[in-house]
Amino acid sequence: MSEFNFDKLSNLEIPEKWVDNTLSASSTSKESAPAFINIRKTMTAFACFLVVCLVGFSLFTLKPDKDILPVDTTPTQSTESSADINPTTEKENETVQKDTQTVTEATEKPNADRAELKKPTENTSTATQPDEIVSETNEPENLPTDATQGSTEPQEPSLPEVIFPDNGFPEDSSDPDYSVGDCLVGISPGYLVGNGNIYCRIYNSNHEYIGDNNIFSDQHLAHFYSGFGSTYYYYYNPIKSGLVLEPDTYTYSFYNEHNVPICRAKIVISYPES
Amino acid sequence: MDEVQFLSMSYEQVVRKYKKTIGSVCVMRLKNWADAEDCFQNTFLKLYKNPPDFSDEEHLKAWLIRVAINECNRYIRKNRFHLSLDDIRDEGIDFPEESCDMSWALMELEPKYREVLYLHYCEVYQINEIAQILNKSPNTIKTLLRRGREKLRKIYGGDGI
Repeated sequence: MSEFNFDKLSNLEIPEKWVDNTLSASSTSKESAPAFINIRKTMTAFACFLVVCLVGFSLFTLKPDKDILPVDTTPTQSTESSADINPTTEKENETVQKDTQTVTEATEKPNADRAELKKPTENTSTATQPDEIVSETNEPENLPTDATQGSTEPQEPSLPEVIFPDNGFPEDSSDPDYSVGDCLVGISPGYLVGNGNIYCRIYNSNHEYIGDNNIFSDQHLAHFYSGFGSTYYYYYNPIKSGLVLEPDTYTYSFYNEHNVPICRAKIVISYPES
Repeated sequence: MDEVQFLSMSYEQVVRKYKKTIGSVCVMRLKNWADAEDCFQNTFLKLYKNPPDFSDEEHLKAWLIRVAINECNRYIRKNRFHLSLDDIRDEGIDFPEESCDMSWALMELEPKYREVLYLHYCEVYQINEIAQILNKSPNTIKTLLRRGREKLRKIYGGDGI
């Protein structure tokens, strides 16, 4: 200590109790030495663990949902469109065909020659001759579409190349209850849409429109026949409803309320010679 | 207690041998007897609980001084808002002014100057040794010594050297 004199500081007397207390504390710490736990490090590690868990959980739960594949929805076809009915028309016709075969012994002429429709006189010689039904496949798309009820100005109908077989046929002319112009129509319930009414358009042999859309139902002119599966049979006679028909071969075209063609029948009108 | 050996010395022997040095460091650092006693005890407790391998006694002494300074600094940080000047004055170290002794002037310096001057003049440590103990560069120690001397002269006043 050449430069400064720190004698008092250098000769500072440390109390002896300091030593005693230190030795006592050391022995005590040795005897009951608790497990030293670095609280700070432990808390830090625990906090890091929580953060990692939270991050992992959030990544797992918040991942974008898988793209939902668009559901391939096929456009639903309205029952009002003829396309819905048309594909099943042939199937319905086949069903009715099987049903009607057990009802009557009416002859069928599948794939009838189109020339027969243009020559009605050849088939309508006498009233006793059985009425013929031209059986052809159906192409409803060619039929006029007049959705309005009671229209008085129908379009020029294009003679369909196909008609509905077995859905419309007259009763046997030999039947005493038979009346000229009678027709029995078999209609599948799938065609009974809307209010369930059936419309009929009558065309002569020249494809001329004769009568208005006559609405017939079992409440007015038709008789409901049942017992043949799901087909509903309606009795229809335009002459009894007041329509004047000259002797000719007429075509009864039946439509439902949505103007979907149901069936067609070729009716021969001839009056017995009185 | 005799189970622990430090360079062929027992723990009690080490405490008694270096009590003045460590006690002086704590007193000089804290300027309070009660606080110095706590740091003194904690320093030797650390030696007892986690004794490192010492190459020689100088290594042991330097380690004890370093631990004592750290304990004092930790105590200061911990009780920074609780230490009152009144407590220091009541239990503070009172070195009356004397013509030759400058202990009281040293206590008026900042701790960083005080430590360096004490270790250099009281414990007779060299600059490199002080740098190792305080974990500072030798140039820093030289700077602290120079500034400490200047301040000490100003406090003491006149030519006390």
